[in-house]
Amino acid sequence: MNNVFSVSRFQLVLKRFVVLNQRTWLIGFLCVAGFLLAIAVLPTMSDMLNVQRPGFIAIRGFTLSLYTLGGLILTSMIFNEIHSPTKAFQFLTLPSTTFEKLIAAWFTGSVVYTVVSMIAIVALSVLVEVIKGVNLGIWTPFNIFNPFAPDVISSILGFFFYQSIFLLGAVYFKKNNFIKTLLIVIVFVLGTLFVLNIGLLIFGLSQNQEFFLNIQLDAQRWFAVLKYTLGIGLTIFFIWLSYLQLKNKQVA
Amino acid sequence: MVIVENLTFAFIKSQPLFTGLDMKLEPGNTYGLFGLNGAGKTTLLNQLSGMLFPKKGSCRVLGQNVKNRLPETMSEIYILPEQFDLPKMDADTYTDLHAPFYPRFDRSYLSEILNEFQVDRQKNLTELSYGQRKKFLIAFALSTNSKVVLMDEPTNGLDIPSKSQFRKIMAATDQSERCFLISTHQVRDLDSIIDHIIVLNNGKIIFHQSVMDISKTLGFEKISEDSHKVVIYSEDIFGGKAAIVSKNESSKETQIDLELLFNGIIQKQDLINNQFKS
Repeated sequence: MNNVFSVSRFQLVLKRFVVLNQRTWLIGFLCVAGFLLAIAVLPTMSDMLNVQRPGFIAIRGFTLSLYTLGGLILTSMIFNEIHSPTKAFQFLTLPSTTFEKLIAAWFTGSVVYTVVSMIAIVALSVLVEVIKGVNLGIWTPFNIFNPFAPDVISSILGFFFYQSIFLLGAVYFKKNNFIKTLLIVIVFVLGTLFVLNIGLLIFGLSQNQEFFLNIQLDAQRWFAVLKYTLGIGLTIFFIWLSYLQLKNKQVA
Repeated sequence: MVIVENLTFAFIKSQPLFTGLDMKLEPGNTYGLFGLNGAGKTTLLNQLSGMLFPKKGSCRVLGQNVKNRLPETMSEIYILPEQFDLPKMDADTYTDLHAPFYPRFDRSYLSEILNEFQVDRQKNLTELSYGQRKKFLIAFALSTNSKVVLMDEPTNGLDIPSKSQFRKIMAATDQSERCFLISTHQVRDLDSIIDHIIVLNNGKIIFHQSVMDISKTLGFEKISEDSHKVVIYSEDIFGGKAAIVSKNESSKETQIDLELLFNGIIQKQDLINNQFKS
């Protein structure tokens, strides 16, 4: 047994995370899928809104938001074990490196979750479209969810960034990890906006001008490169902070 | 095998639990760790398993600092805590998930012990009673074949037949290259399997002797009130006194009374330790 990164050990830790969390995930997925199915299909079937519902398109944006929210909640719960004195021994004394454990947790909450979610969303969209087709006689196969659409990829990348922050929250906070991390993110974003606004006021720019400035910046290629570089850099930074936190974790 | 050097640790800065604690454990032995409530027995086990880090000093297992939690080191340590929660899965799933981390894990031995303990493998671990869960974890700990096994109150929650099964299993386990450190208050449950006695008090190890040396040095006798023997420590019992006497005073072979010895060490630490110096 070596002490450097081992793929087989990583797979074992990954399997452990998946098995330990599968029940929570299954319940979460079923609840969300049932809810989405209800709001997408019921108006189509009952025609209660007296409109031609567009099928899965009606809930596409909402589904992507729930994908992000659900992933952040599940990530916040992934290290629950290490905050409980009666459970922590099983994880902390597990013969695997801290890096393997951390990367397995990150991989479970990001890649595994995203793959499972995307498959579930595709299946849901097919189901919604079939029900709509059967009921209304209108078949729109192009409405079936495409996980490789640019806006979906953009949502996934955004999720990966926020997920790294919630991963840090999952290791750092002992209880209510999701709420605490969310509050910190909100306070940070509001603080940044406040500081930016103060700065813009000092430099004599009105808020409207700043808004247009943002739109113009977004269109610039260099800004996109900067945004992604910063995003990837910060994601790695938060994962590294999570690693340090996990490495120094002690439980009595 | 296990070397603790100058271990200093405190939960509250002003109230240190260990100050410069030293300890050495060798393979092939089963150590009984005794101490009063709050003496730091569980904390010491947590230090040895890498769950807690020393403020100063180090805990080394097979030459590696446990604080680093290296896989090579951790695969040679298994801790069985007194209080624990297991995930909602059956014994076989738990074993499938955790056993591959221990290179010498013996599944047939696990089955053997679980059968001996009559643990239901089909039931979810969360549905088992505390005693049943403890028996499962004892079986798992022994089956890892880790060189250092730390047990915190292993017989707590076990029924009377299970306690004797535990002693039987421990006695049958190959201990030649392994080292067991068992912390307990239930001295009578484990006196037959322990071959070294360690007593922890006020953050220090105040007594560390082998059972063989104790038997050679001390005698445990019931004496009458008017006995002229030089007593090291004694306690009133029905019809006389239970006493620890020097072996010079006791010609016959006596069985070690662990409870009496522990009380004697706490009350008359220097006097008892001096017996081993001469």
